[in-house]
This record gives sequence, structure tokens and C-alpha cells, in this order.
Amino acid sequence: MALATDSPRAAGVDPMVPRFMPVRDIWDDTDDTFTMELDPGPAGFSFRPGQFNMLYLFGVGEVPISISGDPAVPGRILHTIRGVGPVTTAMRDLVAGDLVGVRGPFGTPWPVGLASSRDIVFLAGGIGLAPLRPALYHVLNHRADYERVALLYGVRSPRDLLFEDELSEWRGRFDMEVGVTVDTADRKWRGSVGVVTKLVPRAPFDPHNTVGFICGPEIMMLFAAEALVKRGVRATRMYLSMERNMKCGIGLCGHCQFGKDFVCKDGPVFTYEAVHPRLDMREV
Amino acid sequence: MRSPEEVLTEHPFFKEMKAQHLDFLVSVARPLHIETNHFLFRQGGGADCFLVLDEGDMAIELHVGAKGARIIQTVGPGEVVGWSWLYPPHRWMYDGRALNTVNCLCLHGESVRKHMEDDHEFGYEVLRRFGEVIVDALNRTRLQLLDVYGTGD
Repeated sequence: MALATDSPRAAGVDPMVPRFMPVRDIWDDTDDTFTMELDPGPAGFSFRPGQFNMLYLFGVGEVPISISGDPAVPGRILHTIRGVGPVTTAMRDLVAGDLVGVRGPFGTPWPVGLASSRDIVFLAGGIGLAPLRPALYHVLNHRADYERVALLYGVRSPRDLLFEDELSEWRGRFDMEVGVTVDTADRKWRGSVGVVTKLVPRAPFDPHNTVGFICGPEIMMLFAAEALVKRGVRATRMYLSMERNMKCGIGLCGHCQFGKDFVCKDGPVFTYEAVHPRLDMREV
Repeated sequence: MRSPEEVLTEHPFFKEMKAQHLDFLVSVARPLHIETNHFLFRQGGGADCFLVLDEGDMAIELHVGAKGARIIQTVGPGEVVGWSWLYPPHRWMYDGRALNTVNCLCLHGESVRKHMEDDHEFGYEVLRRFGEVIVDALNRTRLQLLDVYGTGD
């Protein structure tokens, strides 16, 4: 199922032409992950939770990166990036004032409106917390519109935890449940050890009135969705953010084709019901 | 601390178990109260029971030489701990340490094994339920082995 899309084209902007934005700040989140704050200028930058931008580093290349900031703060564009390839590794060396080319926002958003008046479970794995954070901000900014809110987050080790300060803050709230688990730890870690699906059976939500937003490595999303199904959450009420090799961002080039869909245009957010038959297909 | 009847009746592991089977398990259950950082069992020690967690969390740890203790997994209320009582040589493979105050039941392994032999219907029920726990643990372990959050392939 394709969801409504906000696109640069709809805003009268040529989606293939990058806008230049200076880096306002850049900081490390973990050993291999950093957040880059861009200055969109006085006009600001509107996006919806779950959308992504194509970020262009001149002379190096362009990469799709989810927006990780608060959609209610249009003057501050945040991207949380893992330095793994030539472009993202080079981006880490940027400093305040350097220019980045930005195309976007692209893609379908997390359907935060459909989740209103329901329990909502965020299931994040690794850097998958970054694309979910705008939806979390939205839900917390409109807390009265939702019933119970739970964030279940799994990472490789305690040193890989993203947004630790915010996790602590969210954990301290009386209107939100936060579960964190790591794959491996030594005795200094006082929390849960095990895969993120382990947190699902004990999470406080009514499966018959719950919407699930899942983001992380594909295999983790598959297991997470199955854990929610086992609890009784409907496949039509679970949403996954898919990742493919996105290039143009507008469904022209075909690099991100995923069966009948283009992830950049028809996704990245899909219902589990729509994508789960394809998750097991080797040919897709 | 709740009575063994209350714990076993409400614990998901024993859901829909026949009353006479539950009655037997209650008869071999011993309540345990463990303070934070105390060990419920130690690697290599005799595994004469399995634990039914009611309150609190525990870490299942493996001592890996100079690297010290690594936490393999944590378990909490609604879970059962221990398969070593089922098969010879009946020794714990890991350490079990309380991460906070733990209230649990210790079910006597030898008595349960004997009853499983005497009453095969009961034996099948126990093995079926432990089979699900073991399969679940195996799947989780496979996911952990994949290192899905790593950068490499």
C-alpha cells in the first residue's frame, strides 16, 4: 500500500536539483555514527516523520539519509549517519560552514495520524532508531492523541546506543515505556541482554488496538514483525521502513525497485502486510 | 512473595496445563528469594532444579577467561530458566546472577524427571513446553550470531 507523499515536486521545486545548505554543527553519537545539522535558511524545511533526503557531497557522491530531527522544528535539519561507505565516511570530516547538496524530502512518512487513539509501539534496531525519532517526537508533541506509547530498542552493545540522553529522558517519563536490550555486554551493563524481539512479550500494549512502527536491518524487522503478530497485532497495522539502493529519489531510475514498488517513491514506509510476502523472496 | 500455586497457575509457561500436573509441580516447588548480585547457580555446579521466575531479572553469564564474565542473555518474570536438569550430567553450563531482587520457584529436577518417566503424558507436556523455550532461545541466538547491526556482510 502506498501512502501519501510530500515531495519537492509538489512544492514547486525541481526534485533533481540540490539545494545548498551549510553544515551548522556535526557531532559523534557513537564510534561509527554521527549527526549532522544543516541550516535550511530562513525559509526552513518541512518534512514528515520517516521521510529522507538525498545528501550530496561535492566530488564524492550522493546518499539517501533519513531525517532524524523534530518535524516541528523546521529550522533545524538533522541527519544521523553511519560512516560506512566513501560518501558517509567523508561526510564525517565536514565542519561547520561546509556546504552539502540536499534534495528532498522524499518518500512516504510514518502514518502517525492513523495511530491516533491507539497504543503505539516503536521497534528499533541499531541505527533504525534515527528514522523513527521524528515519529517519536511527533507522538510526544501530541501525546494526548495517543494511548500507551512504547519504544523497544535493540543494539549490538551498550557503546552502540544512539541518543542516550534522550533515551534516559524518555525512560523517565510517566507516559511512555522504554525497553532497551543489547546483543552482548559485560557486567557493567545493568539492562537487558538479548535480541529486541525478546522485549515484545512484556511490552505494555493492547495488541488489538496497537499500531507498530518498525525500523532496523531487514532481518530484524522480519523477526520483530513476527513477534508482534504472535502477540496479536494485525499485519495491516504494522509499518516497516525499507532500505534499498536509492539514487534518484523520485521513482525514475529503478535502482531501488522492490517487486512492484520503488522504495524511494512508494516507500520507504510500507505496511507489513504489503511487503512481507516479498521479504522471503530471494529474487526481490 | 506469592505462593507456588499462584505463581504456577498464572505463569505463561504452564498455561492450560492440566490441574493434576500443576498439582504435582506445586508439590515439588520451593520458593527462592535472591538479593541483587547473588548467584542462583554457578557454572559447573549441580543442576538439580529449574527456575520459574516470578519477580526480578537475572543474567545468564559465561566466564570467558581473561575477558571476565559476559552476559549471554537476561531473563525476567514469565520465563523459565534451566534445561541442564533434564539431561546428564545435570550440571549448569552458565552462571545465573540476580540483577535485582529475584523471587522465583525452584522445581526439583530429579522429582520432575521421575514423574515424567512414570506419567508419559506429563512427560510429553513438560518436554513440549521446554522444546518451545529451547527453539525460541536457538532462534534468538542465531539472530545474535548474524550480528545484524554490524557494518560488515
